[in-house]
Amino acid sequence: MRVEYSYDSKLIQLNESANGDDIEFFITLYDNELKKKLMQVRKYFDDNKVLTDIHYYIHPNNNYQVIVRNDFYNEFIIQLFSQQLLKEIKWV
Amino acid sequence: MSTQAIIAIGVFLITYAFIVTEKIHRTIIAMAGGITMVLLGIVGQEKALHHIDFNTLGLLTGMMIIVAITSETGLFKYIAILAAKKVKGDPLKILLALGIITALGSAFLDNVTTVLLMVPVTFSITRQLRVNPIPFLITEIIASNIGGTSTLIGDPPNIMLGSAVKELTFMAFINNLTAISFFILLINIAILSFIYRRQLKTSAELKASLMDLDEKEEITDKRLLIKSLTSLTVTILGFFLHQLLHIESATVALAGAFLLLLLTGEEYLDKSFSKVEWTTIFFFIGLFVLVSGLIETGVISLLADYSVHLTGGDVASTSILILWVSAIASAFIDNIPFVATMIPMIKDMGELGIHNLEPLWWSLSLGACLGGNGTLIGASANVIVAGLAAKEGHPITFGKFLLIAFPLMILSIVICTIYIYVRYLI
Repeated sequence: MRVEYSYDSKLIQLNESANGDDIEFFITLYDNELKKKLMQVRKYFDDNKVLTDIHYYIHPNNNYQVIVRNDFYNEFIIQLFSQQLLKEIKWV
Repeated sequence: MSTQAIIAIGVFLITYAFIVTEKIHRTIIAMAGGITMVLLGIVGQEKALHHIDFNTLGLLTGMMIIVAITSETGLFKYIAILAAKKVKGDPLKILLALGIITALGSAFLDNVTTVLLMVPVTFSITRQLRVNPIPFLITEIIASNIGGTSTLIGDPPNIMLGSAVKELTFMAFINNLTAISFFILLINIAILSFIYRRQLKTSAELKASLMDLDEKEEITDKRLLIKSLTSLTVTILGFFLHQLLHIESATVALAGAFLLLLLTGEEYLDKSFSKVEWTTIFFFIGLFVLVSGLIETGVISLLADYSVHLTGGDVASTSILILWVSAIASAFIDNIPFVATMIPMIKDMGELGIHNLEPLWWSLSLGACLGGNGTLIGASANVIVAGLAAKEGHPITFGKFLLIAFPLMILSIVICTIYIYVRYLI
């Protein structure tokens, strides 16, 4: 079973690809208000005691790169969903 | 030797043995040892309290509060990413930059705090460049211990020395230890860069991705950053002037910490207090009381007498002996209890006829601080980084670290021997 998700492409653009053993997300936010929500996702992972669960990189113009360790993929998706950056998630 | 003295030695050695084996937390052991000294009547409660150095405790607490609040601002991430971009994303140069940043951080902050701030951003940068993080982590361990040597507030042994000896002011540490520490740092980083040069390669594409990072966005709270930097600047200025102003270093650190809390408000009070390492504070309290048992029963005086007899009271031999014994001992055991024992011993040496104690104090500081680089268990920062690295799937083994760090530590102490001899003993 894997997770499938959907998002509002007017507010956010999200692409994922394999990066070695990890999954790499490229995220673009079209609404500045969403920055705070993505920050909350980062804070969630910063506050736990794992340092390499996600690596979060801020690029100019609301572009973000997030390298997510395979075993934290589902948790990352759930956190995006809990911050309403994703509209829907389901097991397929 | 009196029965009291023999009991005091017994309690001290048993406590020390438990600290070395690390089977039980060192704070519990040190406090149990200290309390045993009082319970057995070797030292009374009033005397025991008198031996607790509240200047050391105040300085540590004040700096921990300042760091706890400042770390919330994202300042360290900003500095690390900016440095990585300034060197165009070249891993070899990043190793050098992160080493220097760690050393500078450790000169003014606690070593463990500094590495705890540096390690996450190191993992982040090395993952981006797809290079092995271990060379960076080993460099940061070594740099933190060297940086900590360079100032009065950089490492607990120096804090204890500065507190116990009036002449060893913040400026005295700057004048006597900063330049030599910086020199040793550069030598160590140059050798580490040479050793790891083949592992520190990445692609142009990954470098470009790192160069595109926006470090300014890492600052999470600009108002808090301004308040933190203001308090930190006032505090550091206070350290430079504390002798002139006739105030103790603990007063400076606590004034800085509560100025910051005054500026930030109640919101940060509980949070920053919860981040104060109370285990370290109580470890110190236990040790001060434990060593007081040896002082009050005359054991320390006897040891000093024996050491002076061994070196014939010669300042040069005594200094070099202290430097090397401190370094080798600190590579294997905690340097805090070692220094706590050595301070009263060196003071007693002064009463036994060694008039120029200055080279002895600097030898103790250099030996105890730099000796921590010798093994993976030599200093708290080493253990913390190794623990984090292992947890994240990049183990730094005792042997791997020893092979690189022990020769570097010996080289550092050889440099210190020449320095002590040329500067103080000729």
